[in-house]
Amino acid sequence: MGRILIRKFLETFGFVLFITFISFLFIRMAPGDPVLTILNVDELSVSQEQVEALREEMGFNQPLLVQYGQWLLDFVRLDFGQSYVTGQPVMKMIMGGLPATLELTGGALVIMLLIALPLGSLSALYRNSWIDQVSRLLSIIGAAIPSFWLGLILIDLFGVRLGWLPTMGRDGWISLLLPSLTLGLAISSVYVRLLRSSLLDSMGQEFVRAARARGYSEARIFWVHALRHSLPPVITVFGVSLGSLIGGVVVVEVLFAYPGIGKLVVDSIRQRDYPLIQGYILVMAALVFVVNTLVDLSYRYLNPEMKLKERKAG
Amino acid sequence: MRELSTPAIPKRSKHSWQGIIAFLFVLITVMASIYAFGWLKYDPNTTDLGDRLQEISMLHPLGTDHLGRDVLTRLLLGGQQTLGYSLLALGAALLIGIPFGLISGYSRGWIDRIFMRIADGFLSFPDTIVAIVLSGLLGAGIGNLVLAIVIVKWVNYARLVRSTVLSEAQKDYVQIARTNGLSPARIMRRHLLPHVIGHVLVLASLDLGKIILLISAFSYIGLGAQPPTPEWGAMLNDSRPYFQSRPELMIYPGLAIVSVVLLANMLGDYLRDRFDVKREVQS
Amino acid sequence: MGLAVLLLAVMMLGACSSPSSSAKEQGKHVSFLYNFSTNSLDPHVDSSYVPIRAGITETLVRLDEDNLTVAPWLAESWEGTDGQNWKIHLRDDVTFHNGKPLTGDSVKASLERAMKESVAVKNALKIKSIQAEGNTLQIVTNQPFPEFISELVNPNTSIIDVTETDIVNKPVGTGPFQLASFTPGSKLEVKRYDSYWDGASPLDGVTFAFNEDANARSLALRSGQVDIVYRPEVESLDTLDAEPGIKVESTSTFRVHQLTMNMERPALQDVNVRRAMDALIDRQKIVDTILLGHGEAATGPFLPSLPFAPTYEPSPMGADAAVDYLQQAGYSLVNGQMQKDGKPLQLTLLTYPARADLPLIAQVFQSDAKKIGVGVEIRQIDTPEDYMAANRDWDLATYSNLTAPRGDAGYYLNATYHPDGALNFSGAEDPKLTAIIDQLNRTVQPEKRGVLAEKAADYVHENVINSFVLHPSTIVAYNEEKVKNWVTTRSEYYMITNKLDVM
Repeated sequence: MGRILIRKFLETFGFVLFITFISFLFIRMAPGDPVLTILNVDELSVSQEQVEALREEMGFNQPLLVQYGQWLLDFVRLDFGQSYVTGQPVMKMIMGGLPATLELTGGALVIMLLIALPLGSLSALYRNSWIDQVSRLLSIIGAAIPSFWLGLILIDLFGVRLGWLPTMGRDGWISLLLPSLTLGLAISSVYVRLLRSSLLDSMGQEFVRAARARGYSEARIFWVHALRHSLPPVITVFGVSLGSLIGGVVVVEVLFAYPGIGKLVVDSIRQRDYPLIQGYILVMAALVFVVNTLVDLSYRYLNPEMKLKERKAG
Repeated sequence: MRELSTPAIPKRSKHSWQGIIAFLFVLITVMASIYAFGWLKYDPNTTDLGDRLQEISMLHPLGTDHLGRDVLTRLLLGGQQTLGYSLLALGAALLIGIPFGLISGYSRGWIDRIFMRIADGFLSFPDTIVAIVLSGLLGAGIGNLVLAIVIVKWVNYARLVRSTVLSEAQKDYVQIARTNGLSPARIMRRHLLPHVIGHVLVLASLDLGKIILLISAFSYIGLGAQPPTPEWGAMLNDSRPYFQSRPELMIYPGLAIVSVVLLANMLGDYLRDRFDVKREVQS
Repeated sequence: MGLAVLLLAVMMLGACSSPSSSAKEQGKHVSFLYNFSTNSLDPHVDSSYVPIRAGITETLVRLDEDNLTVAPWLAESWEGTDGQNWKIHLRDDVTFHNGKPLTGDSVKASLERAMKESVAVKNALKIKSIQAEGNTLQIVTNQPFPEFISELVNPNTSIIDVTETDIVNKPVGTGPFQLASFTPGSKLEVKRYDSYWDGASPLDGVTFAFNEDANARSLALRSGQVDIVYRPEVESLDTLDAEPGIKVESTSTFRVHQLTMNMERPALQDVNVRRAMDALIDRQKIVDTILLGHGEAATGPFLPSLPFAPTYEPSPMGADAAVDYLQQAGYSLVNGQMQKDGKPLQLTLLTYPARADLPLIAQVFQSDAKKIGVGVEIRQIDTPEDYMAANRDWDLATYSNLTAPRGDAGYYLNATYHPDGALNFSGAEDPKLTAIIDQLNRTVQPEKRGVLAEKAADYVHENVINSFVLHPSTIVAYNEEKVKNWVTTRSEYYMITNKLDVM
């Protein structure tokens, strides 16, 4: 057990280090730098010399490896730097926006589950019936509808016409409803169809026949056996869509003025705020890594066969 | 509770009415194309500010957009661009992701671990950064857009395939095939692929819609179809300001995308059923 | 599955810690929605200028919107005849929100901090030394710098009490409102400062919120969640206007949308080609259709109401005039294309989406050019300043610029037409023009400066160094049954004032 933990830790560490290096190179390869933004060239008279002088001072003219080395030294001391735009510590800014984004993501996931579980299961159980067709149509519309449009329609309906919900901001539970609904509807399309396909797959498998032969009730077969077996692909897709989920969160965060890190990062990319971008990728890499490891672990739990066979083989 | 088995609905009738829908779509598209290109012959890029935001009429079956250009013409031409490039992106993502996932899930061990770390690495980058860097390095344009999408999307399929393979590879029939001396490649192709295809097709057919939307997000920052080239995603984006005054402008490209995704989904279902039959016969 | 539960738990914890829904505001309150968001209220660093806009801080001088000159604010008067040694006299009845009086020392400390924290401010002020005596400041600049006082209009030079250290989240200024709470990226709540030197506000508090989506802003106003909206979606204005009780106000600003011409390219080195491009732009049509009338056609960079904006003589415009100019330049129509010496006229036009009007203007221009046989290819870019400075393989660019942000032409002329300027994308290196600008930089008297600025603008126009399309207006919509005394300022620096009231 201890050995596994140590190995996992080294793996994580190596991975994160590798990611920081790649991301560092990658970002600096993007054309442009933050110098013009910092000098507020939009409103203040700036000369070419001043631009060059600042570039020199911030070390952007040094070779990339040297710049990376400097960043690495700071990283080891757990100093993730300050944002070029606000001057505040990067980690503080990211941690400041994280709760809001997590709320949105969590809310969206809840909505997604509330939609996908019933619709997906019913579509599989009553294959090709009207429920199946309707759910397919809804899925397709959901996959093709831009989330900003959906959001605007929902705001118009619930915020303006009915006046039930706030149209923007983050003031407690109630402001979470519309944004979560928007995002949840947008992501649920894939999961409905995937769950259906996966359930159809498991329901045709041997163990279902075996369970039936053993006399278990249909309900038990469905809930305890078939559903559990059909979750791995669904959870996999969740694991990989974390990145695009955060991307989708950005649109919703901007539309509903929900102050999360999604919007923070998009702005920082536009302004070439390197420390913030770097910090964000770091946090994302760690998050992706953790989530996907959990996903991998969950396969064993959901699919006991795997565990058994593994033990037998190993 | 209803029995949990696949009811025996005659496959032919299900496919026949889907076939009718598909045929109708094609028919309408062809007729619209003849009208637009053979009869009306508008230049999709010529602006006419005096004629902007016109309603539906015989001259402009779908009206005009915010710069006075004919919407129908742009929609049809846009289909070429949008469909072509999104299919290309999807195809490339599948071509990279599926083998990756197959090999990773089947070999397990350290190959699996390295592959998965690489995949996770790709996931950590926000797609916007990838798009910006690519456009900066290689120049803006639709080719690089496809590249950016492939980079972002292939991991979805790799992981999906891998997870299916992980659970299937333990099954008896695979063990038997292995002891029978079948090469891994053969096993992957004949036994694992059919299982995998089902899930992949579900994801891919719906992904088509999402890829088109992704194109629109990238076009916004300059990577992708350059204005004034008509493209559905860009048309969606362009009609955002008219959300309250002229909502139809967003509905047309939106409906186009929905129709395409519907067709893709039906195609996917059909293919999947074909593989299903094969599998049932085999086992 | 477990993951969803985990996230649900985190979300609940998060929601518990997020600010609870604001109880119905007691007393007189206004809710204002702005179109940029910020994560920091540090007035010296943050370029969203929220502290001054929300009425928390003030600068030494301000822009007088009626006369478009620099007017006293925290400073009562000033002298500086040689452009290098300045003397500023402060008001003696001003206090900070924490009760401390405004003195020369506190102003000195604030300015010095601003210069230390922001390279941009340091470069802009060019201060060598500050000495404070009571309520007078003696400032020496690095070089003769006539616009020095107008640079103090800049919101990044706001005066705050630097001894209050949490400047990012709670700056202590001298304005009519003090900060009550701040949610980075979302909004701030301010409450009345009773001892404001210019008369306390009648309002008890104001909510200053941010939302960067234009449609969402319009919807927020319609739903009643906010009372004043900055820059609602232009295309939604008809719907807004139609609603009873909502007023829409359109005010011209110091901004200009222009067509930058890269004069390092052979085709554009001929002034007649440039004149042709200039004539091709159908300005009024663009203002009427793309901006829905919320703008003014522009002939030069400066808003016509500015004292140093030249009056221009009308010159030939339109497709025919453009063809004329091209023919004078030696081009002729061959097979539907404008050609000279066998080479067709092909231009690359840059545009960027951050300002929604610009790609539209680009497409209209391209289409109009095609009609007379000139090929224009559009290239969309991400960050205009970086791109145009680093790449020179383009001919034209749609660009947007503030040309007199503090009522003085110095910034724009230096940045855009001086060979040294950081915004000189056209590659302008005209010795006559440079000489005028250099002289401007040495002239202290505002009237004389105005004359020189006008001379420079005239020169730019005659030689078509850039082409100017329009001056966009800023639109503000508000609930006229509730809000009283709202004024949209041209500089866009002053929004929440002590005059703002409710019915």
